[in-house]
Amino acid sequence: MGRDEQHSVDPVSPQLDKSKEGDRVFAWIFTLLPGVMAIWLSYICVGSFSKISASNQWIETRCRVIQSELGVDDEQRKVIDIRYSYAFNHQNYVGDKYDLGDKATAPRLWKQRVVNRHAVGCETVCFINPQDPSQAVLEPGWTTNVVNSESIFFLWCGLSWVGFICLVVRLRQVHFEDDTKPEDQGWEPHLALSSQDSGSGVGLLPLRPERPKFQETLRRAILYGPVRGLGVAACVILFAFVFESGELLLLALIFFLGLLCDMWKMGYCGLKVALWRFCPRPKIRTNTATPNVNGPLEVEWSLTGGLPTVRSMRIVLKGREQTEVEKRKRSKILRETFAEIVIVNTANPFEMTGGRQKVVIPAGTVPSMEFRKSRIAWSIDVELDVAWWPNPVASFPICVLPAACKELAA
Amino acid sequence: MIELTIAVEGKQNQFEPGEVVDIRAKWKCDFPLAALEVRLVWHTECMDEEPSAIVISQSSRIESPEAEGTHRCQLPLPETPFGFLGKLISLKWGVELVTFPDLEAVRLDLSVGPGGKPRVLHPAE
Repeated sequence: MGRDEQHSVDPVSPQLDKSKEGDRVFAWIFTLLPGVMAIWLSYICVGSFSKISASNQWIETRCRVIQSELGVDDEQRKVIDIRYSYAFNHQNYVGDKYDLGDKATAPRLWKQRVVNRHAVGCETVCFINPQDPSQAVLEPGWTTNVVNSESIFFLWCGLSWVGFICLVVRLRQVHFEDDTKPEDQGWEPHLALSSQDSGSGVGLLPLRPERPKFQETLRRAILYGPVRGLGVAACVILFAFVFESGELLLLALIFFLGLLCDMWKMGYCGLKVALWRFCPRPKIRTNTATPNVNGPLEVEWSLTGGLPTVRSMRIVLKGREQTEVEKRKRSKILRETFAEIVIVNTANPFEMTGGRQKVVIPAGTVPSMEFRKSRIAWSIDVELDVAWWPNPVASFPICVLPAACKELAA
Repeated sequence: MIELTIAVEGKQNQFEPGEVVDIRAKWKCDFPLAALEVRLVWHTECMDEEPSAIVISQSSRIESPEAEGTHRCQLPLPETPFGFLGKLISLKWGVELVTFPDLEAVRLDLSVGPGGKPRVLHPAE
């Protein structure tokens, strides 16, 4: 069969399954509510973070410390009780903020050092908000106090929720993939059989798509990233509080940043997974998952979700050489396509929704093979051209047997 | 000292899958050999990877051979796998004459595939 040869297509109308709609609505609510909460928390944090960053631009002015001691707050926690006087635009003010962080959460030793450094009567500099001169701090920007504030915790909570929801969504997806019976996928088995073309008289088998790489990366980042980063950070924070050491807290921050790196990976892959989930989903059924070279392969497809946005669809049977090479201690998979048999190439929405086509795997082609680090792999690839969206490619692996095996089996 | 030669009759080493290969092995040795084996073998070569282990498809064994002699045998090629040449992976056929217990060997490459040639996976575009 030629590469560009066109075929007539038997359209088949898939029946959408309504029984899972309740589950889907619940899943959406469960996903959206914490998502909104996460966005809200992140918004608060970003607001306070921008103020902290802006304080670096505040006006530097001389001031005199008039009170400096370690006091206690309403919850009997040690706080820096500092007051200083300064003049701005011929007006006198008294400031009581050391920085823009939480007064109580920093280590006690660090607070004691601050008090010792700013003895009563000494002259130092403070930073004044030009828009509100009554607002001033002795140390602008990111301080130990700020890093220890609740804002970071809120941000972490928000991002964790996003990660958790990604995990839940992923687990639900796996659950559906494992448990779904062909009848549950919106297909009636008798519809899958062609009255004149199937020949074999056997029902078509649903193929399972290959899992995209970013899904696996996300799964690993969710499962191992927070555990690794948080575990180490928690241990270091514990030691920091026991020994009241600000340096150890800095070390904890480094581990925390390591966790954020995994968060970045989670965010990137999570976004791709989310985009993937909103893409139209192709399903492929074949008369056999192990066709023979020079033998027929009957392919039936259906496409659900987001159909109006799909501009065209191409289903191709592809044979690939695949080998794993190592470069600078990192393995990379190289692929070369050696056979491409177009099963359908259409822009007709009705044909895209569902159809059936029969192809013959050309004689003399190489069947599936697997070696230590290399393989000859065959798959049915569904390539969609989606408007205003990344074009998804779903790959359904199949095992092509040599022509001789059929004779042996017979 | 040992001299081993192996040749196939006619066909210029080109065979279709399923065809019978007529092999002639010749040896000359100044010490006694436990056995000799004529083998029809294939192996794969992949990028950045050592050639794979030899797969013995068919063989013909001569126990306690003379110090010098010839042996002719006919070994059938299977229908699959046939030879192919890819950008990343290649599968090659050959015949080997191997001595025992020293495992001295001599090899002759064969072209096996539809039309007597290994399949080229990526023909020149």
